[in-house]
Amino acid sequence: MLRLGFYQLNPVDIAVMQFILASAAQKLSGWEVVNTPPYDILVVDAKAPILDRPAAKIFAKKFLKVSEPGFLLDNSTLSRPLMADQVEEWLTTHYPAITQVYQSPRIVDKSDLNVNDKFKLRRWPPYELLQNNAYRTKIATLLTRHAMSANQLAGAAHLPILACVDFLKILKSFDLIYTISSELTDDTAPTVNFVNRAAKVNLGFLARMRARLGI
Amino acid sequence: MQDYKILFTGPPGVGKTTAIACVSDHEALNTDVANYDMSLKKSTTTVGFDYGILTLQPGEFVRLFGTPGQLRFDFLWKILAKNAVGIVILIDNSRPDPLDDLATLINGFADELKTVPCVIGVSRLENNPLPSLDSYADFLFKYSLVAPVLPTDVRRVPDVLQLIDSLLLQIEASHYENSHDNSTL
Repeated sequence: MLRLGFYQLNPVDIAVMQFILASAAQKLSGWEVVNTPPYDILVVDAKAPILDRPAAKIFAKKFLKVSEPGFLLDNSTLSRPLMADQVEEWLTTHYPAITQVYQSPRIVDKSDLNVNDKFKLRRWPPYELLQNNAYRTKIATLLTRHAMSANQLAGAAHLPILACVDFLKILKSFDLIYTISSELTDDTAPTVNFVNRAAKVNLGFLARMRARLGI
Repeated sequence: MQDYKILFTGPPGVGKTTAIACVSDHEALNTDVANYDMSLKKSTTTVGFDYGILTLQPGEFVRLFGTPGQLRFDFLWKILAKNAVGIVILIDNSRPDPLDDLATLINGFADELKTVPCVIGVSRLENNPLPSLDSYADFLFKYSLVAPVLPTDVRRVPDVLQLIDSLLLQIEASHYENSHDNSTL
């Protein structure tokens, strides 16, 4: 199933899209509407600020833009009012291209995650992915400079390991983390060869500092 | 006696003095003088550095230093950053070119940022949403840097604590990196 979501789109367009998808359920059976990234198709208003952001490509493989009539149309834009036949045709046309990406032998199954591997952040995650969520922010922070396994994350963040694994999977699906295999080092991961001053700080200091600040 | 240093840096007016005063044991010492630079919308400016202290236990302290914001005092940055265990970079999103401010700081602390935990706190976002937090993350990525980018209001103690906790988490992670087993510490 390919994942379709809506973002920065007005409620009327969302309702129309949902109606079209429901009424053509058989024809569009390969699609499911989801509320969280990653998206295969993200339906957005053509003027949505997200389209101007470099981080946008992290969220979705393709964008379907919805514009006012008369807006310059291209093959990724449909104009209002949204018509069932146009939406169906657009989704049907793009379905093979996206599924081909998944079937390509060069693409690794990103949902597969070995809990014994260590992970390190490649880039600070987009704000929408952190969702102002303190736990996600904590996990991302732990991974900013140092590779950690899911077990270690759970211990450091005081979180259930499943919560850590779930977020690691999300980060991995967005290609935001390096994987350092427990068996051999992934050559795409940066080598950490600097003397780390922070490593010389003893753990007791951290506990006392947190106690002193009440965090 | 054991003491540690955390550095607060950022452009003039971003709130370094306020952030340090939020968490310091005593009233933060500063070297503010009357401001005659009309481009800065404040009556005083720091010409030396801000200084606060946190006592963890008898003989163990965390010294909080704030760099002077104005570029003409950047010679002090390196001196103040020496042996810091963490750097808090504060960015004011209401300034004309906040990404340029960040670039100046990244270049000024280039050596330190290779090894010292760092966090970027972006303030005044509510009325100045651009550049977005993601733009900062993209910008850091171009410099091959990965650091937490957090929305911040330095007048709010919890926000300042979150910045400090972000440094502590990075320090904590460094202890796991060298452990070869997967057990927790």
